[in-house]
Amino acid sequence: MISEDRLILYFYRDGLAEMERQEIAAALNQDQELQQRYQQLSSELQALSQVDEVPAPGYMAQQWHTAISREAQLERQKQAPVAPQRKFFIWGLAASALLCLGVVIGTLIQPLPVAQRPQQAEALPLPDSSVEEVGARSAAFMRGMQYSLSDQHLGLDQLPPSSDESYQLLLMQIIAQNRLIERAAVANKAPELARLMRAFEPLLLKMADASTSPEDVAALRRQLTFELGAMLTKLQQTSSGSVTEI
Amino acid sequence: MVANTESMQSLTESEFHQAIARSGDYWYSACLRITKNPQLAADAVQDALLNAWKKRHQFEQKALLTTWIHRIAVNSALSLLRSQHPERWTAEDIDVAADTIPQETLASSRQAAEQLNQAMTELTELERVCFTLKHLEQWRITEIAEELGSSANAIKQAVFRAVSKLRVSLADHRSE
Repeated sequence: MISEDRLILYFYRDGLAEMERQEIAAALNQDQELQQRYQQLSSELQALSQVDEVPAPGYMAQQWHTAISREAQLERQKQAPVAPQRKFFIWGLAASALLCLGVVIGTLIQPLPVAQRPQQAEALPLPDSSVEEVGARSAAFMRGMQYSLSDQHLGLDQLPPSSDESYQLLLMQIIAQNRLIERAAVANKAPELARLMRAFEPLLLKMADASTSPEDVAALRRQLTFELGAMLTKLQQTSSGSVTEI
Repeated sequence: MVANTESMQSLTESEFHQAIARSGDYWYSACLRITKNPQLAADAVQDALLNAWKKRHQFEQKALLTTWIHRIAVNSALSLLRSQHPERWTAEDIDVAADTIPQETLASSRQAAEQLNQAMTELTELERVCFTLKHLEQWRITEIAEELGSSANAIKQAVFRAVSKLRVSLADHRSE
């Protein structure tokens, strides 16, 4: 009696020794009942192949296209020479990115003690819950965020025109830095700040999109610079409040 | 020479975009069958695309680009799934692990119209993954065992259980 399991392997042409395969093939030729069982199994297994294709949501497919375009763009920019006057700015971005990375790693390796917010700090007029959350984080995290955000603010402010060959490279670095800040915010349990950073990304990507008009790029840049400036001001207010209290 | 290099690169980028347009849904569906989680499935496809892009110089048979990415995507989906519940995929326990399916997964899947999808919800995570890789992706049993860090026998048993459950489930549907 040949088991159902062996018939399944026979159907798949996998997992059986050659001798076993021959044995089953011979039995199928001789045994009509076994043949019927196998036909039944085959048709049922074939029916199990009729799976529907689930279309990926449009925004996901768009993300995949964007990811490939971004990688390709980065590669092209790496090959292009960088203007000397931009080198200082690039090093600034790199240092800031490292700082963010340090905050993330530091948090993961040894979570920083969360400073207890003094009673008086709660009375500070903080217009945004993200600032409150951040305010509860360590002073090191606050300083790191301030430095990174002000660097990003400066980077956006000093971006060359979109026609400049280094524009894309600098923008991609700002995007990479933005992600690191977002990760640092997540690692430090500041979801509102993380959300804000995530909200920046589509705007930055739109700025990087070659089909975006220079007017729109300028408008996006103004918007981002404003948002970053506002966030920086709030962080500085919170930070000075915390320091005073501590 | 530079122009040649650039045109090759832009062609490759264009091929990737074409591959996404042509097979993105197919990759996503395969990853979704493994992960049962739309976000994980999308992440798996994106990981696969970026990996394939970075290693595209190692790839020579351009006619099979979509198949190559498909395979990487399935591997990524497996990695992401395993990283979500590593305890279900330890080598010692793999033949008995994951015998429970989260109720919310069952509940949401039962609402799906498609019979096979419904039947698949009756499988454990391990059974679903092994069945998908064997039956739908047509991997060899030894490949699955190697990928999941298990024995060929454990994989066979998972496939047998999956087939048995699916046959019963589909027979029930037919008789209703």
